[in-house]
Amino acid sequence: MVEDDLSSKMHDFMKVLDQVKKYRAIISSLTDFAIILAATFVAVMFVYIFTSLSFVFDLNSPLPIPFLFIGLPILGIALGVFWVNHKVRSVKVGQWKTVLDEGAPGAIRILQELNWDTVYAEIRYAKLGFWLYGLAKTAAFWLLAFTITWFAGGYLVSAVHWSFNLTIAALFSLVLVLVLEKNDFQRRYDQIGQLDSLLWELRWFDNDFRRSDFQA
Amino acid sequence: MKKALVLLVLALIIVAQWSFLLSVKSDTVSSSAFGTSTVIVSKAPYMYMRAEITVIPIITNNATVTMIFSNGTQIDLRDSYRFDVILPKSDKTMRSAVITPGLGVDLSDSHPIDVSVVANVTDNFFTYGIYGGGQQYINNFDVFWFKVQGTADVVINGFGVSVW
Repeated sequence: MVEDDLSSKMHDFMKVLDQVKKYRAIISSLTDFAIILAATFVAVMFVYIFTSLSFVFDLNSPLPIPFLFIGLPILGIALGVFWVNHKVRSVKVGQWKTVLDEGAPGAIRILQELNWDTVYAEIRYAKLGFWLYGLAKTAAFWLLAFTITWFAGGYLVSAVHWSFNLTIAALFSLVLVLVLEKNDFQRRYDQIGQLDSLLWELRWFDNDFRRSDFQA
Repeated sequence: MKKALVLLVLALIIVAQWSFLLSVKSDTVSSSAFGTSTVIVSKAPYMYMRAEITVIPIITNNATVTMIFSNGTQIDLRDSYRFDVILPKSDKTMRSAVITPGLGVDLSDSHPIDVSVVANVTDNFFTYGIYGGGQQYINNFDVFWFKVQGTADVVINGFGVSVW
């Protein structure tokens, strides 16, 4: 391996590792995401309970109930997605740039400090997190779409007497979310594919590196 | 660990909310009354219940529509008449009610409140209809009823809750 190529390859490699760090941040913020969604669900359920009791006890609700039923899930999901993005953005990246500016010796020093087994494990972990976040996000949007569809369906029933039930609402909202999230799925699939190829490339690179006589 | 605890607490709250919501029940009927009809609102003893009752008289050829309550009060109707009925809990315990329903009373633990209109009833309906016969005259459910004489549309929306 030519020494000039080493710096450039290391640059690409470290950039990908930074990306992996971000994916790890996604995993670690999944619990927060779940807490925010669960808290949102609790809030919506409280509104639902209040609405039910207002029928039983003939209470005049001071709350804008329809707005809350749609507004709370939107707010919760937006907050959850914002929180995950915030966590991802706060990951410190690019700290290796100053070392890499030293050229090949800097690159070799970074390589020697890398624990390859940990790097492989992190990449695998990041892949998992990426999938999980994708699933959680889809489920959250599905819930939101279902709530909106359910309300819209209620108006349809009263307006055109169209029979509308939970199964139709659930299926319709799922299809809607899958269509709207198509590009996101594509991006996610591509990135996971890139991570796979990176893993193979790294194994090759690792082999190469161990057989070479680079000295810092 | 703290986050897992928060999630657990939230999950417990959701389970509690869900259980509470399962205790809220509703029942609706929109029916025509003719001849002598009976409007019946009934519930299991462990339920609190409110029913919105609207009677819309259909007056043709100067025929009258009269509401007759169980205490003898009579109201002649010219326009639609709406009123609320509240049946409070009569048993504070949550024990299961062994209900032997009669005609117009369809109660069970899975259907603890019931509203119905039985059109064109006979005179012995109140003993052998609502209470299902003399031998089963057991007060293991609460009931409010009144008669409607004449032709009318009756709409009843019943709402009840047990955990309260």
